Amino acid sequence: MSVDFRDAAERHWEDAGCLSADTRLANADHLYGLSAECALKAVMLSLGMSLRPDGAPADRQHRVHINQLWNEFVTFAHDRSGAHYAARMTGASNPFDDWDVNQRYHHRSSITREAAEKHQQAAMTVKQILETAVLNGDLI
Amino acid sequence: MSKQKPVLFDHALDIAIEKTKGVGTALGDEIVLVRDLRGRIRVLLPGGRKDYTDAPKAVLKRLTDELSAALCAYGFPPERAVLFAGDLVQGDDIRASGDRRLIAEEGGLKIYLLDRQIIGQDWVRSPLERKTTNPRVTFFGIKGGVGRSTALIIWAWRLAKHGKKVLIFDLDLESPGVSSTLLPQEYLPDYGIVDWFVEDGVGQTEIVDNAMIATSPLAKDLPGEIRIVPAFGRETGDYLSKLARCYAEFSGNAVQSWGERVQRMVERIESVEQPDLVILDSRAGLHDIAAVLVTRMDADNFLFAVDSAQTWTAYSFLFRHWRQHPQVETFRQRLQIVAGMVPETGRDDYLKRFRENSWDLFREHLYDEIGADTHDVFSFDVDSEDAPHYPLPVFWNRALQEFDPLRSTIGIDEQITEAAMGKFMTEAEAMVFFREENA
Repeated sequence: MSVDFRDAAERHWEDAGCLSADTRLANADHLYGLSAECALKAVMLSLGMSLRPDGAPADRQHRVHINQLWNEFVTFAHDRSGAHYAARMTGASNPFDDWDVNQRYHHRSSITREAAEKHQQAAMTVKQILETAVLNGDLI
Repeated sequence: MSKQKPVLFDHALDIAIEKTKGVGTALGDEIVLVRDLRGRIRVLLPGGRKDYTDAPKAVLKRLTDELSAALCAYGFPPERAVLFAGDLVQGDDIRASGDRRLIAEEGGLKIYLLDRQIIGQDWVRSPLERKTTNPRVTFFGIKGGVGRSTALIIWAWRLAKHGKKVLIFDLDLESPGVSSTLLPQEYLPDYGIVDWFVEDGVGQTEIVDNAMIATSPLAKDLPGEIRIVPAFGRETGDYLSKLARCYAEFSGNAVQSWGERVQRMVERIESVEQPDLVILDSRAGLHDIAAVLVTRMDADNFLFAVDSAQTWTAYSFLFRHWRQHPQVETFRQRLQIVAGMVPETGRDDYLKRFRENSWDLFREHLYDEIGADTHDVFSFDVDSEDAPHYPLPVFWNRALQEFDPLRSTIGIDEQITEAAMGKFMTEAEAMVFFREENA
């Protein structure tokens, strides 16, 4: 098994799109959150984030899901000449602050359409950051 | 088996073009090559990965295998050697970006290059839109220390004497000079350009907007006025910490290029001040600030030079690059060479040599070849006085060294300044204000 954050970000995105198109919002929402997390970790890797042998980020504060990683990314990117990436994460607050990986245990009705759409938008912003990094050649 | 010769930056693009031509139009009529920040090249195709099946898929595989093998360090592994616009959020916009340029054409296939550069894109971008109509000029030198700022100040003084209102932006942020020469400490406004950029970064320029302009006492008894937007103000404090944040490409929470940010600042102040002329003092050299100020601000450009091999070589890098400019035919008409610090002795010989070197520079890169059809050809003889290569002279004068008119008892000695740069100023005024009348 090998960690590939970029590919993981892409497949979670693609599958979220399929679920979303079929109005299966709760699981789509779950995958948008995972996609954004993987995309940000891919960019962080390109900016010099170190990993443990098992592929997880070496620093504890980076071994988190998107509801915490969003703000961690902004701090990390500013420290590592990645301010131009963080600048795209507009808005004062983290759009994933109401997303939780444990929502996979919740009833589907607990994920509102409004929240799902907000997370989809934010995941798309993160996808664009990843794509910019790819075009720049920061990650291949 | 012989070892493959390493590929260098310059060769990589030729190799990529050759390999891409090899597929003809099998993958469409337009192929965009993306060159990343390290110079590595790959292909950006329309549609998504899934759209390529059967024959096109086989062609694509052949192309990526070949590119990967031939480009060596400037290529990617085959599976990463292609990007699909349809799989990117803004892929189609990226493929059609105004920054792409046509680099090869063969048998119905057009090959474009999209250069992802860390800096430098602004040298070949179109002018930014603006609503203000006052003329603008940019003072630029490929190297510093050629009398650029001194010429700027003396010209501003003469314009004020003739009743003009001149608005000067000191955008030589790494080496601010005009600000301190024209504004003694007690005249400085609270803030300067570096403060504007820092506050714009968090979306609150309104705090500094109305406290970053001052009137120079140099023109206090004159009918006109010299207004200055200095690099720094009285309250600026830690200049270097602010300078380090000036070139960011964001404004508050929005992404905005540095050029657009400068334009926004200049335009707002112009609309309040309503000047007769705006002078932008640019940092010297091939820096991004200069790229924006010379190429994108809709300004006439005075290019300061001295007759030295260093100067001409550096200008030739720039001029060669400008051949890719999308509006080179308009843009080249707004360039004017200025011979700075023309020596006191042997002036005519010096200017003749200068003129010939300047002519070579323009002829090599920006003048048209004269063919059978001579209508509307942008080309000039070496001795053609209205040509952009024909230097406007600024003569060296001992009295203008360590030029500091506000702190010297003499101020500006008109006899000296007219002798040193009367011709430059008269021609510059004709160029700037004549264009305005005929706009």
